[in-house]
Order: sequence, then structure tokens, then C-alpha cells
Amino acid sequence: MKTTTLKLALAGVLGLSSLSSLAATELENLMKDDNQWAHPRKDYANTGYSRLSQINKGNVRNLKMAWSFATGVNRGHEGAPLVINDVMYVHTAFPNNVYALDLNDNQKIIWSYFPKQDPSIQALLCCDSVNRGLGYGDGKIFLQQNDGKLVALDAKTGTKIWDVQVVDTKKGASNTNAPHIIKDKVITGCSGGEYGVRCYISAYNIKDGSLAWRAYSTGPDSEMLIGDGFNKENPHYSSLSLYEDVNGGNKEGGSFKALTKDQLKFPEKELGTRTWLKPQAMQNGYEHGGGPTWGWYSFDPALNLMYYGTGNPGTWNPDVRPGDNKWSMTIFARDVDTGMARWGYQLTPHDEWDYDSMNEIVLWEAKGKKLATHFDRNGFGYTFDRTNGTLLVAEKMHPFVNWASKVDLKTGVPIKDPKFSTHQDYNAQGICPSALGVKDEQPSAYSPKTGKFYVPLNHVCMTYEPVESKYIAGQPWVGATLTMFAGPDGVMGGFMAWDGLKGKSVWYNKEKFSAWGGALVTSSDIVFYGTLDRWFKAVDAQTGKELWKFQVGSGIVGNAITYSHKGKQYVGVLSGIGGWAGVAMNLGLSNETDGLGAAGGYKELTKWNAAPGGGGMNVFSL
Amino acid sequence: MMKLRYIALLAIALPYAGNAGISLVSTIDNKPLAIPGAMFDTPAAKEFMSSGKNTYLGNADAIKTGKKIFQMYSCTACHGAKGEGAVGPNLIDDRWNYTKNANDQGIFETIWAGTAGGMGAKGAGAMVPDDPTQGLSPDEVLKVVAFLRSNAVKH
Ligand code: HEC
Repeated sequence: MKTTTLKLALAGVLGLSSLSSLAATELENLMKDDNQWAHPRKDYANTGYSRLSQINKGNVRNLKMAWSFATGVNRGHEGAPLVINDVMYVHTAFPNNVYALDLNDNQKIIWSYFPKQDPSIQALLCCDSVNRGLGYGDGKIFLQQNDGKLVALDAKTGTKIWDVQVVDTKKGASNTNAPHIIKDKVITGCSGGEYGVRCYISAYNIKDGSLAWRAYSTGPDSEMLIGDGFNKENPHYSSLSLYEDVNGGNKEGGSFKALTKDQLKFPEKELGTRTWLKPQAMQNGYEHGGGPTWGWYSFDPALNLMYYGTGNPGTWNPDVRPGDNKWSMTIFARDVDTGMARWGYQLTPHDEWDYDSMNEIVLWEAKGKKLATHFDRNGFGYTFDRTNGTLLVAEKMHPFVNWASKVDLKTGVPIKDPKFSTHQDYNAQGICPSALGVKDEQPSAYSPKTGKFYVPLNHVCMTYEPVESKYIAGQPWVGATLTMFAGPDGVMGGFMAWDGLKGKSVWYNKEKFSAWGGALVTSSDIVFYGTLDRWFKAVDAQTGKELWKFQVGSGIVGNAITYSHKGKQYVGVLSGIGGWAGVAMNLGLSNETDGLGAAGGYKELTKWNAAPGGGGMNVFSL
Repeated sequence: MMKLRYIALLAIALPYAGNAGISLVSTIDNKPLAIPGAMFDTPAAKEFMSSGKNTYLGNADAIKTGKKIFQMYSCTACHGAKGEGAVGPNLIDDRWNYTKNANDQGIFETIWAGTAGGMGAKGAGAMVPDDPTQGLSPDEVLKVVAFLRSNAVKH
């Protein structure tokens, strides 16, 4: 507390310009303080790791519910509250209400904020009306509403300080991500991969909400903030074409053969337009190219680089967008001050399965190397040298992944299996994983103590039939119909510990349903996560053995957190089933024939949850 | 079976005004829907406007076209390939968020002008208010409904 006061006093003397950098320091201090949970994934590195250890393997079985808070809102409660200086800030699904709860006074509501959003916005949310949480910095709580408005609220009073419209809902764009505060910027994304939106990532100045920079996911280099030095160490990431067409490529029976490194031509420029080859469904395919950015963003202060992934190219019908469709399905490292891209690597070129790459990128160190690990929807677990993007490891997270045999580490290109290529009006069977991915947005956790990642997983396969669809601004533009079913393990989910250097799972637990809740790991080697059948669990980080569980009111799609208050450690998680995993539930699907889409595989969820799932915060202590 | 009886009941209850035709109302606020008469430009659309009957029901060609339209406008994204439900509700069972959707006039109104709970308007002129060239024609809505009804699951 003392340092904060001193800094604030100093800032007063030094004036506004230096305040912003000092304010960022306040957040950085809060991140280091394990009593707090001040950032969506606790720290810049996205670890979801806490040094709190009062709850340990010996006493965890005595965990009891300390208190709970019903949000009064139904449907998907993803993300997690923030805890800052004895106040918990809780968000909800649409209409994205915010509550500040006083932990010093029996969780009494200090203030609340009720955004007024047009109900029609819900029609823009492809995969349920979720919101992944809040950001904090500079004494402000940041809310990214579903309707594209980014709002800064006074953390003490809830009074609105500024707001700004981030995306254009008329074009079908919306927002579901948590705003991430990095230094003196508020970073926020864009949803709309199913609406033909040309998405971007934006950085706003924390003081006044003015736009600092914006980088598109597709289009000309100048608008993507790609310039000199991009992919300097891995110029082959900037190749014009990574595959050659087999049997005509983009038509039934066609497929794509990966080129070897000596066949690639690089480095090339303007790939955000040139990899959208004619004939396209649209004049310039990249203009409706998708590349949503609704994930969890990480940051390395020493390199001054932020990391995030882009999602699917529009539409899901691959035949109408020949080419690699850059830079959809890409991990970017950008200078956080300027937005300029340092490196970019496309994980699933010319996507045929909706394998978005917006999942979190976790920063860690091993053997003196600065690393970044990412568990992609496409089923591969990747580890990079985060200084320059060099790919070190790319291994299947589970052997059921079948769309590609492997990733060629020399080129970074996945070797696609022609059997699972998808084409218009052809219903491709038995593709694993499904579009939900081996993992979706539910973030993994990393423990520097064990050196392992803890990863919530889906185990679902699909049929995929691309169909013709019409682009109309503001309307869904999907272009494929899917059915989903349990994978070969006979269940629909799993949870594993992963060695990021070897690219191997250390232990693997099957889960009845997708584990769609984000993980927390503590220094006492306990991993916490929630399940769709309402269990909040603690497992042993070394072995995966279950140590404790408690059944909450509705399925969990939120991320587990921990904090301490008056010297006592608490763990907590939002419940409220929804999101892509819970849509079947929330819309009351119950027929034998509701066997398609996410509904099918998850049908049995109706035996575990009332619909629609009611939101609530659940907090536990010894 | 349930559904058939229901439709029959509604048919008796609806106040038809003879040749003057049916009057369509919005599912959102029950206010009259202003759809230019000229848009009802096919025999099926004309018949619908005068009697509220969807003559495409059971018509194999119309059902086939209806399926295409259902895909073209990404209804599949929210309601599944056959209308069995995904992020949007099931459209082929006998549970409705709005009971009037069991009846052909009711479902036409819902698709045309949308609901207040997440279903956007799809009718030409209603879908994109500043671009009346976009959206389904009345004839196309009737074909989509024929497709959905052909997939209906009886309970
Ligand atoms: C973006 C997702 C989305 C798309 C695309 C969409 N719908 Fe819907 N639809 C919904 C939702 C959500 C509801 C539930 C609305 C409510 O309860 O108010 C709904 C409701 C309906 C209903 C009423 C269901 C009931 O239970 O009463 C019908 C009929 C319908 N949609 C038809 C269609 C047709 C036809 C199309 C394509 C032309 C379409 N929808 C496209 C999301 C969508």
C-alpha cells in the first residue's frame, strides 16, 4: 500500500504523462501480489499460477463453501472475477452487468453497473452470449460489452469515466473477450468470424480511451501493422503458398500437399491480401476474412511484445476461399507501444475445419530460453522461442487428432490427411477434433514449480459439410453444417498435464463432458478446474489424482481463481453453463434427434443442469 | 399429431377477412407488418396472403429449395442443418418459444420480422433496413417453412 501511495503522490508532481507508466506499475505490483487476482489470467504471462499455499494437499479435502453470489443472469459465465484490494469485481453474461463486492463487509455490493444493450445484439453472438471478464488498471475497471462498447469505470464508485465503440455491430461484429491492460494500454479484440467481419485487435490509451493503434488480421501489410523485420528469423512463415493442389484442390475429392522447405518461396509481402486467391466468394476475400481476436493476450515486458491468436477465415466453406488465407489462424507477437508485428506464424493454413487459433499463449522459461506455449483448437500443442517465433515443438495433444499427420518443423506446415479435406456439398465424416477443438477458449495454467502445463480438453469429433452461403453485412455467414459426437475414448472431455519441452502429456484424466472451465495451479501443487456436470475439482498436479470436489448450481465454463483476504486463502469459480459447450442446454434442446451440432454430443448435460444455466460466483475456504 | 390438432384449432379461431386476406403482425410487438403487396408475386405467396395457407407443404421441389435457402442464409449456424437446434432453438419439435410458430402464419411472421430474444428479422426490407434488396422474399420464407415442416419430429 505504501508504495502505491508514494507513487500516486509522485505522479501528482510529475504530471499526467508519467502517470500512465506509473499506473501500469501499480497493476504490475498487484500481479505480483498473490493476495490479489488483478488480471484475467493473473499475470502478463497468462500462467493462472498462484504462490498461495495455505490450501495444500493435506487439508484440501476440508475445503468448504465460504459464500456464493447469484448474478441474476442466465447462460454462459466464462472468465473470472478480479480481486483487488479486498474488492471482488464480478461480471455476467449478456447484458454484462458488473458488481463490486466488499470482501471486508460480507460481500455487500459497493456499486453495480448495468449496461443498456440492444437485445438484438444477442443475435450476433454465434456461440452464446458469453463475456470473459474485466480488466483493471489506473484505478479503473474495464468492461468490454457484447455490443462492442469498451467502458472504463471508476473502480471505487462504478462511475463511467469514458467509453468507446470498438467494433461495428452493423457489420455483424461483437465482443466477448476480457479487456487486457498492458502497461498504459487497454487491449481488446473482435468477434465475428461467422459474420464475415474483417477483425482486428485494438489498443486504447488507458487515460482517455483514444485509439493508440489497431492491427487487422487480414488485408494490406500497412493495415496489419506488418513492416520491416517481420519474421526476420523465420522468413518461411511469410511464404505465398504452403500447399500444392491435389486433384484440383478446392473441390470434392481434392486435397492439399504440403510443400517442402526448398519448394517454398519467401519472404513475401502483402500476404494478407495475396493468399486470398481468386476466384473467391467475395471480390476481395480478405475484406470479409474473419480472423477474430477474442482470446487471452499475454505480454513480455522485457521484449515489450504482446502475444495473441487470430481465429477462422470467413466462411467455413473452404472451397470459396482458395489460398492459405493469411493471417487467419495465426499467432502474432506485436510491439505493445506501436502495434508493429515482430513475428506471425499461421497454424492452420487454408482452414477447412474452423480450428481457430485464438486460444491463450502462455509465456515461460526453461533451460535459459524464453518460450511461449499454445494449445491450439487443431489438436497440436506448440512451443515457440518467443523472442523470434521459431517453432520448437508441435505435437498432437491426443492421438485421436486425424486431420493432419504431423507438423513439419522445418516449415511449420501441417501435413494434411486428404481423407479429411472438406468440400462444398460433401459431408466429410469422422474428423477429429471437432470445430470445438481439442481445447477451446478455456485457458490452461502453467506452474513454474512443476514446469508443467495443466490443460482442460474437449474430446469430440465431427462431420463437416461446407455449403453455399450468402454474405450480407451484419448477417451470419457460416457456410458449413456440422454434427458432433464423442471421440474414440467414449467420453467428450479430458484434463491433462503437459510437458511443453517434450510435447507430451504427463498424465491424462478422461472427463465425461468437455472440461470447459479454465485451470488454476498453486505452489502447493494443486490444480483446480470446473466441469459441465457442475463439479468444481482439485487434483494433484503431479499425478492428476482427485483430491476434492464440490457440486455447484450449474455447469462451469468459468476459470478458477485464488486470492487471500485477511490472511486466509480462498478459491473461487463462476458457474453458469453456456458458451459453445452449453448452447444445447441453454436453448432447451431435449429431443432424441437433437443429435447435431454441439447439442448432440452434449445431450446428456440436460440430466445435470437446469436450463438456461443460472450464473453464480462460488467461493471456498478451509 | 399434437401439432396437427393445434393448427386445426388455430385455423378456426383466426378471423379471416375473406378476399381482403390475412393481416400479418410482428412477433416482437404484435404491431402490423407492412409488407408491400407486390412482394407476394408467386401463386404460393398470393395464396398465403389470402388464406394464410402454405401450399408448399409437402412439395418436394419447394422443400429442396427451402433447404438451400436455409443454408444460404446461415440459419443452419444457429438452428442446425435440419432445424434440430444448436445455439438457436429446435424448429422441428413441438416445443416453441412462441406458440404461434406451430402455425404457418405465425412462423412466417417470426422469420420475417424476428423476435426480441435473439432472432434477427429475415424478410426483405426487414433484415437490413437500409438495404431492401437483402433478405428473403415471402415465397422463399414459405419454402423454408416447408423444409422445416418436412423435418418435423412427432411426439
Ligand atoms: C444468429 C443466430 C440465428 C440465426 C442465423 C437464425 N436464427 Fe432463428 N432464432 C435464433 C434464436 C436465438 C431464436 C430464439 C429467439 C427467442 O426466443 O426470442 C430463434 C428463433 C427462431 C424461430 C422461433 C422458434 C420458436 O421456438 O418459437 C424460428 C421459426 C426461427 N428462429 C427461424 C430461423 C430461420 C428460418 C433462419 C434463417 C433464415 C434463422 N432462424 C436464423 C437464432 C438465429
